[in-house]
This record gives sequence, structure tokens and C-alpha cells, in this order.
Amino acid sequence: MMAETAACPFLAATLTLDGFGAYRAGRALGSPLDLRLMPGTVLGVVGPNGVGKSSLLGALAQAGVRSYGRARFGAQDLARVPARARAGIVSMLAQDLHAPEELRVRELVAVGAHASGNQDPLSEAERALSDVGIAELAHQRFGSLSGGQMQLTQIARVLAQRTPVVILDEPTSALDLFHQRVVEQTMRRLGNDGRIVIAALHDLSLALNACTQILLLDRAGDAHSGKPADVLRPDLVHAAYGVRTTIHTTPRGRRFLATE
Amino acid sequence: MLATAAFVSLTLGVVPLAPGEALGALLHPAEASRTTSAVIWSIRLPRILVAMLVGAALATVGAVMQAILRNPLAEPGITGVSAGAAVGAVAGITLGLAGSAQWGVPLAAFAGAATVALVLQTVLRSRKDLGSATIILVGVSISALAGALINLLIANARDDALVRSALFWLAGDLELRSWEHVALAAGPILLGLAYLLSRTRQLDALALGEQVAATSGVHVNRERILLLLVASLVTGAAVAVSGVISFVGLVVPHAVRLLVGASHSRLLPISALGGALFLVLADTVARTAFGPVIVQTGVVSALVGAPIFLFLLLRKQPA
Repeated sequence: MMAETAACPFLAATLTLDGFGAYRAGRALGSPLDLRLMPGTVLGVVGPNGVGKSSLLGALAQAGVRSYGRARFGAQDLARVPARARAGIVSMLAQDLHAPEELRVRELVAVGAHASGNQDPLSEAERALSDVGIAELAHQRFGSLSGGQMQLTQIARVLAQRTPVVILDEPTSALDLFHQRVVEQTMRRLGNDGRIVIAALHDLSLALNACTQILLLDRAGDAHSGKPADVLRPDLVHAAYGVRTTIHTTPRGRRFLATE
Repeated sequence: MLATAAFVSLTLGVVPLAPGEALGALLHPAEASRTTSAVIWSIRLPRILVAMLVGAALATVGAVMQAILRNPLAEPGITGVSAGAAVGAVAGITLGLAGSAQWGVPLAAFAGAATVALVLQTVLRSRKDLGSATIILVGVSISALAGALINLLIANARDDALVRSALFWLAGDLELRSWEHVALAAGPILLGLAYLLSRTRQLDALALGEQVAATSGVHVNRERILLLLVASLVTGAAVAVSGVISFVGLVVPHAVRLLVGASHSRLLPISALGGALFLVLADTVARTAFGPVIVQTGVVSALVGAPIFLFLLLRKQPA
């Protein structure tokens, strides 16, 4: 029991979007979203380039993107929570992975641990690094890493923040097959911990397997949400991307989406 | 190391002093000869202290600006913040503020630096992340405007004495610095540095970009504006007592990052000490190494800094 309390130090609550959306260049993107995300939800945000996946994520995280409507975690309006307190609720992997070249990997990850007031940020950082399988990079300079290692380091920073809501903007864009699996497993594990994960994804097969729920945004500004197999249906995918697809299942039960 | 450098610097100059003699004059001024005592206490010590304050100020502000602008080329000289301070200071001098109110020139320098800092913040808000090219072009345009304004101010100065005083000061030199200058610079620089040193965690987050900072507990715009204003205060005070000395804020944090890494809890204090050391050394070289030729402190700093700037620029991927 003790171990479980330690692994889950936050209060699980529902994330509710009421008529929520992002602005880009002064223009409201897409139609307003109404969503209730329960603890344990892993939401994959998918859709063609330019529909505003990143803007939506940035708006949810209150990270430099203006928003309309309301996003509440429990009873707290995320737009009104002070930055310090919000860092205990929402963490974010941005697409911008850059950091000072001379920064050590462990120090970068510790920024996440510091943000949520961890008493021992460097140990937390090392734990998060082994969670994504790169414990051996802890003392390397950030500038010496490959693109994929940079992405994993930034994901470790997000894990070290241990927030109930985790926002990941294209978490596998630079990763090899092995590390894509690591991130997929990490997303599922976070969900099993009772957290809410919101990830913008381009890999629809990954979305099928890693997510409990999908939000498909299309160019017309419409949004479809629901279970992965219901939303990633060939007709909806075709309407959004203009590409014919089929869903297949491997002998071991893993689904994948193929283009025709 | 800093103390040793300062002490060695104390013994060197037109009137060379034996280390024992200098130490004696420092510890027991009453017992030393009048010349020695005067050289140490009225000429060299205040000059060294001003060099230490200005060096610490410029190096720390350089490291802070590099985190905020997310670019290792940012520093008060290159971004035009020092040029803004210079406009303010020249305005202060040519309007005769130096004579009437002691704080007039540093305040005017702060106002000039802060104006440029607010321009930078506006550019940052609109462009999100600044590439090297943008930072350099913003700096070039601000410096060109500052140069024009300075010419205008000097051309319209009321009398020749004010013009001479402004030109002399513009050269970026530590010649003839007195205890008055130490007193003028110490307050704003030490207070400003104390504030900057208290924000190391926020700077660590800002160096990872706006989105990471915003989700790591930093109120990004408020934090940036406060940091830039305090950086302007510190730069203004430094420029008011030394003129424009470029490249300290570039060279020192760069070297310190190679030695101790980029975590601001180490980078800032060690850059402050390193900046003090760098400028004491640069100033010692400036006033001793070139014989009868007069070389300003800022020239020595530029001789070291410009090649390093070019090296950093060429090593970077184009942005």
C-alpha cells in the first residue's frame, strides 16, 4: 500500500473541457471541444498537418497559446491557476527539444522534478531516466546526444514532474522502433497509474494500441472522439486525411493501420 | 584566484611596487610612503574594484540574456542593451546631469538599457524563439540607432568640456576611476546580481523554451520582463562607470559553461567571479602591456572577445 501511495502522490480528478479551443494568429481553431477525460485516460490527438493539434495541446497546458472556453482539472480552471501550482497539475513535452549544449542530461531532467517541488530532484531525475531506458546518459552533455536521445531526455523530464495530467506533443517523432515501444508502454503505464495522458500522434497504429480514446481533428474543423477503433474507422480517416486505410490485427492481438 | 589577480594587478603599473610594499600599504596605509599609499588607495584599488564590479555585472547579465534569448551569442553588447545604456549616459553627461546629481548618469543609463530590453521582450513575444541572425540584426539596428543618437547629443552639447567628457567616457575605459565610481556602481550591481542569482531555477526552465518554462512553474512573460529590467539596471550601472565594454558577457559565460556546465546555480555565480577576474586581467593588460600607447580596457576585451564571437557564430548551424 505504501509503495502505491508513493507512486501516486497526486489527487486524481477529471479533466473537463467546456467549449474549449485554441487561437492561432488571432483566429479560433476548429470547433469548440466538449470532453470529459477520466483519470486513466490516454487520449491520442490525431489529424492531418495544420489542423491545430499542437495549438490545442499548448492551449491546454497554458503554454503560450491563447485559448477560449474552459479547461478544468477537478474544480480548478487551468487558465486561472498560478503557474507554480499549475506545474503540479500539468507537464508537457514540447516539439522544441532544444537545451543548452553544456547542460547535463540529469540536470535537464531535474528541471521537471524541481517544478513540482521534489525534495530530491537528482534522484528523481535518475529514476525517470531509467524509466525511459537511458539511465546511462545521465552525465552526458545534452549537446552530445542524438535527436532520439534528446527526445527521450525531455520525456524523462516530463515523467520526473509526476503530474496527474501529462501532455506529449509528438513524443515518438524522433525515435527508433525500440524506443517507440518504450514510449508506448510508458503512456500506457501512466494511464494505469490513474493519470490523464494527452498525446498528439502522427502514427495511427501507435494511436490504436497506446490510447484508450482518440480525438480526430479534420480540416473542416470538426472533431470526432471515442474509442480508437471507432474513430480510426476507414471512412473517418479518409474524410480527415484523404487516404484509404484498413485496420488489421496481428496473431498476438496487436492492431495496425495500413494505407491502401 | 580573483584575489591573487587583483593583488598582482595592484603591484603593476607606471610605478611598479614590490608585493611586500603593496601589501604593507594595503594593510597599514599609515606606515607606507605617501606615494605608495596614494598609488594603491587613490588610483589602483578603486580602479580594480570598478573592474571587478563591471566584469561581474556584464558576465552575469550575459549568462542571463543567453538563457532568456536561448542563444549563446546574446550579451549586453551584441543585443544593443549596452548601446541603449550609452545613449542614456551620454544624454546624462551632455545635459550636465553628471555635475548636478550624482545618480543622474546611472539612472539615465538604466533608462536607456531598459528601453532596449523592452524592445527585445517585444521581439521575443512576437517571434517566440530567436535565431542568431535575428539577435544580431536586432543588435545591429539598435546599435546603429544608438550611435546616431549619441552623435546628435554630442553635436548639440552645450560646451566643449561636456563633449570631451562624453567622448572620453564612451571609449570604454577604466582610466581615472575613483571611489566615487565604486560607490555609484556597487549598489545597483550588487543588488541586481543578488536578484539574478536568486532566479537560477527559473533561468534553467527558460533556457528550455517558453512551453517548457510555462509548464514548469514559470510565469514566462512576467519572469522575462523582470529579469530583463534587472539586467538593464546592472548593465546601466556598469556602463555608467566604464563606458561600453563588449564581449565580457560572451566570453566569460562561454568559458564557464565549458568548465562547470550550463546549470544556472553554478553558471551564474562562477560567471560573476570569472567576469570580475577577466576584466581585472584585461584592465591590467590594458594599462601595463602597451607602454606609452594608450589602450582602453574595452579594446583588450574586444581583442579577446571578437575572435571567440566569430568562432561561436561559425560553429552554430545557420538560423
